[in-house]
Amino acid sequence: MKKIIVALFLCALVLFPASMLFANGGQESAQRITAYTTLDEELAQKVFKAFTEETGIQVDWVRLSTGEAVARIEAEKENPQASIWFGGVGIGHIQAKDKGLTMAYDSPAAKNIPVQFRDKEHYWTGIYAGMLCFESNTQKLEKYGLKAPQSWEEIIGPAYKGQVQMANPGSSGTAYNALATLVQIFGEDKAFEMLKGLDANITQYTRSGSAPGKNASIGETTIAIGYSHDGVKLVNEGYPLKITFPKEGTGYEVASISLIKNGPADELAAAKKLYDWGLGETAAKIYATKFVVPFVDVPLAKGAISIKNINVIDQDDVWAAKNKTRLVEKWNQVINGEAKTVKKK
Amino acid sequence: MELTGSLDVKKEGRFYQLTRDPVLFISVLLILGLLLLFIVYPLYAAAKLSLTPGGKFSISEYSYIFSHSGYTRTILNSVTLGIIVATIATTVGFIFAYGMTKGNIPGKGFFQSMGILPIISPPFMFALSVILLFGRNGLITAKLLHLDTGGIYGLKGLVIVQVITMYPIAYMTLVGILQGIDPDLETCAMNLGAKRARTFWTVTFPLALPGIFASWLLVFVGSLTDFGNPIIIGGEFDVLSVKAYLEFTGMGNLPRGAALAIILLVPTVAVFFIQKYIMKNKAYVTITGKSSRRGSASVSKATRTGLFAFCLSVSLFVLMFYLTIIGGSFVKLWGIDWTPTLKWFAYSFDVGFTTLKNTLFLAIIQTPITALLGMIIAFIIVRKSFPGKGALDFLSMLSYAIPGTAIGIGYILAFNKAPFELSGTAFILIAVYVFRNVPIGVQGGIAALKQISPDIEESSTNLGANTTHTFRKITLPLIRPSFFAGATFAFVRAMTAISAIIFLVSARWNHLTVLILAQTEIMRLGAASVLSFVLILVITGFVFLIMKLTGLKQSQIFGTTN
Repeated sequence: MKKIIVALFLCALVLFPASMLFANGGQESAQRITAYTTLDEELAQKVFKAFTEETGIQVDWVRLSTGEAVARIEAEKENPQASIWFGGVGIGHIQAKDKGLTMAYDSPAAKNIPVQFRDKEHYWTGIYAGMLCFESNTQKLEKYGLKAPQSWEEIIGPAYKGQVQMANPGSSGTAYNALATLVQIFGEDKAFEMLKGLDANITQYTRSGSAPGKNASIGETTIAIGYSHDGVKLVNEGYPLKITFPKEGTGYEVASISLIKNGPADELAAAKKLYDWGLGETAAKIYATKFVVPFVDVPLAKGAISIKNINVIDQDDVWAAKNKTRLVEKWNQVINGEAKTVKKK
Repeated sequence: MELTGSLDVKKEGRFYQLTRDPVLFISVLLILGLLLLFIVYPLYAAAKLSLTPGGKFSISEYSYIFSHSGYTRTILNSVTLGIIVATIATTVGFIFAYGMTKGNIPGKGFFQSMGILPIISPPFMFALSVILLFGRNGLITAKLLHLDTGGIYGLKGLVIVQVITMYPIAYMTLVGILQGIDPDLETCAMNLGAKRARTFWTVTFPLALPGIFASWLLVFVGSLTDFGNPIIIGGEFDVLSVKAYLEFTGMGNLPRGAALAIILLVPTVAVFFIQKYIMKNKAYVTITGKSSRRGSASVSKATRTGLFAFCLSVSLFVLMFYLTIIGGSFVKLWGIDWTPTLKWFAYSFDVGFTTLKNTLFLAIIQTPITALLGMIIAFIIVRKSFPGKGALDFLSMLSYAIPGTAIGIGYILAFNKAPFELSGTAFILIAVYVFRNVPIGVQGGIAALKQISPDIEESSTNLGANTTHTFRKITLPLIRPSFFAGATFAFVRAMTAISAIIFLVSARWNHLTVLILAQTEIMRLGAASVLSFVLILVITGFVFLIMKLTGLKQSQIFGTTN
């Protein structure tokens, strides 16, 4: 018995420093980058694998939602752990820029990207656009005798009570995109009235923006508010989903890339390489396999919906980023039942 | 003995023991220092942030929270859930443990595995199963019963899932306690004419009471600080841990998130003091060094049948959840397309292999450290008397009461700048495992030590052995089952951790549960099932390996029936 304890303890004593070596040893080799990504897990896997194969640079990555990525980078700003934030709703990237978390980088590859989808001061560059849409489970629609919603006005109606899911605008860039879209179309007062109406129909506000679509696909909810490329992907995987766009116009994300300010110094050159590569054609072809429509012209996957064919609003992401804290706070108060409690005298 | 000179020996008798025993003195100082650095300091960082939202001191975050119904409701929800779950889970755990130890029911091996299985499972596995079985499109609710229910999200679903996840905590605690009760005592009571029921209520139950309280509190705190289950099936039923997390991450409102986490401390710390108060002066020494420990049959045949039926139903219920996960691993699209496939395995291998390797690596490293530290602390607390003992006791248990979310953000705030630049390293994860899991070892150690009469150790001391020697030669062998239960539990907890480490995982050191959460959240249920399945296999395999290496039986490792 005693021997076992001693052996275990010795193990610990040996392995503990070994682990430290492990941890630091990885960072010492220059051919390694640490990345935060908001791309879909499967897509991220493909993208970084292809990059490593092409350049020999290893990418250590972790997936975070847009909100999580901003919070994480902010929390780590004294000692940033990652060099690059790859993917994620553009509003989040603008927020990160406004908070001084990212750095300017005038990538030579940025000229591939239309000027309205990249930052004039070179802080972030878009890689693809995704439009907000309604994803409805056709089996459930049939079961409840409902039709797929065609407009924002429709989806907030009592017919869809308990049938809709969207993400929490606090954590999800997708959901905040939807909130900001409503405000931009209808004005703030009307928009919040509508969000209140929508709240009556919502079963759950999920953490991640792509979760409602997934829930709709397996029938956990009837209708989801999410991005169309996620929906198209699900349709292609065989799920009974119908995708519709609101006729009043819809918002969109500009999935972007930013370099993180003061990231590990020895990674910077490689991170820039990844940034350039992410804006290039090889990467765009990989994005396209996931039914998104990249800004770089590449052959699209069957069923992919281009932003050119959809009625999108004239979206002001800079405004949306500036007002995020205020609007989400307001949403929490008005919608999420966080109205002030009535004080008794 | 140079140390003696620096202290005021005369002031208090308790100092005497400390100064006479340099090993004890140094251990206490070292442990206190570590606890302060890795538990108090991060907590201080979080508390400080919550009180200085704009850089200046202000209680505005707290007044905001308490004046808004959304937040106050969340607080109430958490406490309600905790009370319901703790009560049900402790009851189930007690009946289970009673059946196993005193009831002498058949099929012990099977039931024991069933009592342990939920602990070695990934955190949202049951939430995932509940959705697959009872969700809107669930196998049972929709396919078999043709019910149209959206009601599994929220309190109902959470209670089911948390009870299943946490009754084993009660079971594990109580099995040790019930086993420690000398059957001779019950036999005596019956020989003196007490009926079985009377023996139970006047002998067994009172002796088990501290254990029952302990497990109730463990489950209560466990429920309150649970993060994995509520984030998946909490639905509109907001709880504090998730709310705090969302404030931190989504809103990027670090001060308010920190404030919510600090608020979550209040009930948990309060419970901790209540427990201290109740347990005070409750001596329950039953191993005196002369016990015969024979088997007993203190229940009637009818009771035994009842116990058996109960354990069987619970076990089958639990088993169903596992079969669901295994089924989910091999099916193309659950609820839609039942074609068998292996594609989720291929996909999971691609996405998760490196992560699995790293998760396992770190969990193995922290296991002996945690277990040994826990035992040492327990020994010092129970057997030694010195100034600052209360603080040590409190600190060593505190981390169990702190929601992982707060620890997570605390670590980020505290260890991301000089002099403690640890974030992104393996060390920060190991530290979080050790200090989050150490209360399990301490709790187990205390429970075990309190049942061992100090006389045995005193004999050793009287014969000239010092603290170290006595601990190694006498105490450690006696609390061996507790030690291994602690070690195993620590390993399993590290493998299935989520709430704190979700903040601390880095691109280099990711954790499999974080990956599973991501897969579950985006309803890639096939992949989530496979990863959960693999994680369970790895944990079971590891436990099996320990058994082989140490030559111990499963029952000894888990400290259950012999």
